[in-house]
Amino acid sequence: MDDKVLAPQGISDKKSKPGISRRNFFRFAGGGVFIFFSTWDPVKLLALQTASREEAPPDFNAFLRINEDGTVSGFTGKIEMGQGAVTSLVQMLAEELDVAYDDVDLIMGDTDLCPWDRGTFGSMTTRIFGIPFRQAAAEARAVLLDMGSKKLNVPVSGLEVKEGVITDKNNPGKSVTYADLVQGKKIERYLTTKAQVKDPKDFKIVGKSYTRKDSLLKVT
Amino acid sequence: MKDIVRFELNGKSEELQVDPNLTLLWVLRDHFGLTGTKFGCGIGFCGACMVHMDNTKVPSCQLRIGNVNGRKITTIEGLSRGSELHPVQKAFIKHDALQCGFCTSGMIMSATGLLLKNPKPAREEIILELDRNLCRCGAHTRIIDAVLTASTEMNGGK
Repeated sequence: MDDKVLAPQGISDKKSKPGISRRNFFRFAGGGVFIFFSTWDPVKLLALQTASREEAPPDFNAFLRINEDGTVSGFTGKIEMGQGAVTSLVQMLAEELDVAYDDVDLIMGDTDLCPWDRGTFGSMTTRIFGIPFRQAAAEARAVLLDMGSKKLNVPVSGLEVKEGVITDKNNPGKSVTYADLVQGKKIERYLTTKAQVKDPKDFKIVGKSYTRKDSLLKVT
Repeated sequence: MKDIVRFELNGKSEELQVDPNLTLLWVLRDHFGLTGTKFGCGIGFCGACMVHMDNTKVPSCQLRIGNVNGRKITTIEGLSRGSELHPVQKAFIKHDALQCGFCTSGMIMSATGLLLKNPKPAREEIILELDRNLCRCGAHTRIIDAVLTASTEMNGGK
């Protein structure tokens, strides 16, 4: 595997700071399904408004991982400073992936683990970062459904997912968990934005009130 | 110049050789690694560094470690009993009485200090007591609700 440095692109007109090298990245990463994605330049995005979206940059500055135990981890350089992103972004992931809220965690701003990010400011985490974040989760769900479809020998359209368990709609006894599918595998995808995010009317987790992810740490 | 200072910290006897002019705040944070107690203003105004000395709240940035000799100190880390949180801690979680969390340990230490001397404070008394604990996130009303909830729980639901 070549050791080229992954640096965010299309984000700054200046030369980007080095990101995580691929080799180092995969050394710590272990198994699971990885979805890499990039957030777009918020300034450009706002300026473009109605114009067509920029092409997704070839590299990533955030990623999520379906762990081998079926839990989900999001990695981002965005940080939690009280605004609640550690909770709301987790809700987005849980929603799009159909996993339990408690099975999702977010690793934020850990410079050993998280890719470079332009910063946390301007109330943009939800508005700008939230979009590709949800799309990445939808992509991960699509990958898992595809794997589940092959495993269960049922077309994707005949499957439903609840709390990380893929079930045959016509035969509820026939099911497979995300954990089973991911076990011992390492799958790497870049966000294609082809996966469809959920319609807000179907939200079960987003828009509900959850205990903050950071409250226990902060009261002890 | 260093002195020997002995005191009880979160239920455990401690002895250390230390410059007696250091503040308790920095001894807690740097020597004991108890970083739940925060440095806010450093002049005793903001309440972020609040701890208990002999069950009374005191801003640890205003206390020389030399004056702690023989005393009993409780910090936010010493409030829970094992994994069982103090009722005030539980109520803060329940009411989402925090955002960034910087003021939270000081708020909780002030609130628990209040409940030690006045187990059933009125809303106005809580406001008065927590007046010198500053929070810029704007969690104040939730904090007051949390303290009321904790007080009720500690009085057996009454």
